[in-house]
Amino acid sequence: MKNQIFNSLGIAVLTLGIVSCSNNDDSTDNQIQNASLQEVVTNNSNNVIIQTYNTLNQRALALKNAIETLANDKTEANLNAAKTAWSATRVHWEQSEGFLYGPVDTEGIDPAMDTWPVDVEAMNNILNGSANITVQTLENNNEARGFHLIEFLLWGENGQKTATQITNRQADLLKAAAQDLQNNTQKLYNGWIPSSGNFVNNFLNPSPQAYPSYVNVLEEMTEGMIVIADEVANAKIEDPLNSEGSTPNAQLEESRFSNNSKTDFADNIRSIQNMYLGTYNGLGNGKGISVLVAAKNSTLDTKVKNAINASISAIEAIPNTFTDAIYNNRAAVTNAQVKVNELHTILKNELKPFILNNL
Amino acid sequence: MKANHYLAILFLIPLMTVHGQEKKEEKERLDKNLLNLSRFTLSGYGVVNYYNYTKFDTDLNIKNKFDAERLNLYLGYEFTDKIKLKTEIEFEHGGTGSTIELDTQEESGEYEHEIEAGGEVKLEQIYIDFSINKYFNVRAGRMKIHFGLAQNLDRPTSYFTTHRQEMENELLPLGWYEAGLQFYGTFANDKLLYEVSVTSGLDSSGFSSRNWIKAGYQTRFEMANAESLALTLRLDYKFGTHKNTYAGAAFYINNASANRPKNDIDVTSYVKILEAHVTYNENNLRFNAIGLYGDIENSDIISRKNATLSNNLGVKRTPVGKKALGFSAEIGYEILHFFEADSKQKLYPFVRYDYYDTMYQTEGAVVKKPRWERNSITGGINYLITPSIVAKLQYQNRTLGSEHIDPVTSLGIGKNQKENTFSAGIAFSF
Repeated sequence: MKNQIFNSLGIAVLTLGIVSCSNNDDSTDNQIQNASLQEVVTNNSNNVIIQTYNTLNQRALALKNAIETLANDKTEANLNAAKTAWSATRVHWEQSEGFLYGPVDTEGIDPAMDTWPVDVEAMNNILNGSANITVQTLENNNEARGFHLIEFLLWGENGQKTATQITNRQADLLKAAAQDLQNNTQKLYNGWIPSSGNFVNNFLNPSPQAYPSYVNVLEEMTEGMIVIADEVANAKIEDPLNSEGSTPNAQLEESRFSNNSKTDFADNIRSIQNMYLGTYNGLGNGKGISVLVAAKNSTLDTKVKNAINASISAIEAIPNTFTDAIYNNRAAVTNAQVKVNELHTILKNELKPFILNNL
Repeated sequence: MKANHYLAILFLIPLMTVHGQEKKEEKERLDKNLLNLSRFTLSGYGVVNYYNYTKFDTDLNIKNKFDAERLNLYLGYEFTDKIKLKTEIEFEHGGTGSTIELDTQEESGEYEHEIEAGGEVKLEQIYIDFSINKYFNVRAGRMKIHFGLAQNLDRPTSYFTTHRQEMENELLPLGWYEAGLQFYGTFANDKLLYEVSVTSGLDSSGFSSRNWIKAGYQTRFEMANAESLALTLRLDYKFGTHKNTYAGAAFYINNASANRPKNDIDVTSYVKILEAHVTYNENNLRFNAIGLYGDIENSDIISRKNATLSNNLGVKRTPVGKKALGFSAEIGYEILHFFEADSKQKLYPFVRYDYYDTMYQTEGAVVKKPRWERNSITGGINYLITPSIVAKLQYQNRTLGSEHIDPVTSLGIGKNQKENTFSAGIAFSF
């Protein structure tokens, strides 16, 4: 009965916005509190995580089709369409990095999709060989597959590649890599949904065998947010910015062929935002972790939201490309790093203890 | 009946053989003092090294290092003249050790990490040795697999380099210890030595491009899977006066995919390794050489399955070579006796050569990577301050099969990658 009420409320909330959610959770009654924990877990699982993987899978399918078109007809227009499809897919992968647990972790899908840097030696060995290039070729050579291999082949080492420079072998490799990527996004989506791998059941129905309670699920969700904030600040930004002491090194920059790094980083923070606010790409009822925090500690809730916004703004405020900025606008890059690190500290030192001790 | 059951029966043979004798000895032992120090044995060795990387193309940020490599202590106790307990405890790198526990009772298999306090301490060997007669003896428990040469020449006073013998150390687990049974003995006036081991085996989820089967050695879990037992055969011929003067060969076989943490491969993956070796230590000359050849069945399927293993397993997930090939030789000559005929100290200049390729041949769609073909020349000095303390200095030049890429221009420079290292160390053995 209670669930039905909340379900109807959820629909209402979609139109009313997030503010009304907080009002619903003001009650200190334990049962209602538990129900709202369940609601947040349900919303974040079904509408943020699964829908992110669903969109990622659809975009990967579109990327595969765009690359097939390019391989059959190597025109600049088709190359540009493939590049656009790559970037459109990348958005949702980066927005999924706030939840690198479950099948993406236990099935080894992360390294198969996002291995970096590109193993140019292995790639060249495949290109220089005479064997047919198939999906199985990439499954057998784990260091030469995924987003960055496709990026390297579409943009080239210096980002200047033209359609006519794509050789037939490269076209074959692109086709196989796009199919392989889509196989993995499909596997990832299937791993979560109830009709297939049903990992989501571990979240929706806590049990001693997986996550004993909703608080443990929320702890896992928060931990995922902490991990990606740390990675953005202290690996993705730090390594190229200060590779040796304080010397910049563009070689260490992820997504540098496509100049997509700033977007990557901002989307990583958006994955934190999506989980925190309980919305994704117009989906979700807004019952995210924020609702639970706001009910008991509105100061902390505001602090987290502000830190998320400040991080995204600071990343997007970095002028020109990230490659250029690590040499010529180091202060702006450092500022973004500081902001993301502040977010990381708040998530780790304030949000996580709050969830463990107060929910 | 599964192979495991045979092993259980084999375990009983030595026990039955020595049972009657044990009763008498047990009574005698109890008649004596409970703690008889003369029945305890203790020996050991240790190594501390310094590495200075003069040129290291594959890792431009590599740091020079000190390494308290290991301290190995052997504790033994003689229950009777014929039955002995032997143990080996190893302290490695002064770090902390950890194990992982896989719980398949849970839905998707939860991995649990356990950090052990007090540094990395491993019980490498613990076995009971039953001396029956010179032709047939049995060890039962966890003991050393005598495969290759480095497993025998494992004390730092028995090899010249600062670190362990490179070729074998990159391809094989060193030290290699497994649980099970070992039968050994000598024939032909103690000139022929044999050893047959039936033990726990490898797990193919740990195989990698760089180290071939090495990390398939089951150390990640608290217990070793024993779905497929390994068979190791070895024969040596002694032809000199020193215990390290002999020539021989060994063969190893095990289905390494049966021992994976999960049943994710339904074909067999027999690992077969063959090696032949010679070691010579007479008068002032020390020389040894070994050639090794190995084959992994279905290495392409292993590569594909390893690529999808959980991050939590901490394995490399890199493609696995089907065939590995290795050769190494080292020679040293004592020169101090030229200057001082009765000196107890020794000075051995030495040179060593290693060739090994862990992706010598690949299978199916797995692409061979030249980087894993390695050639190395090492030259240096071993100074034995006393027969049991040695100071070492060496310079090593390692050339890889892959081309060096200039980090600034990202272009190949037309020369192979180099990894050159100066190193020094102090070691002891007692």
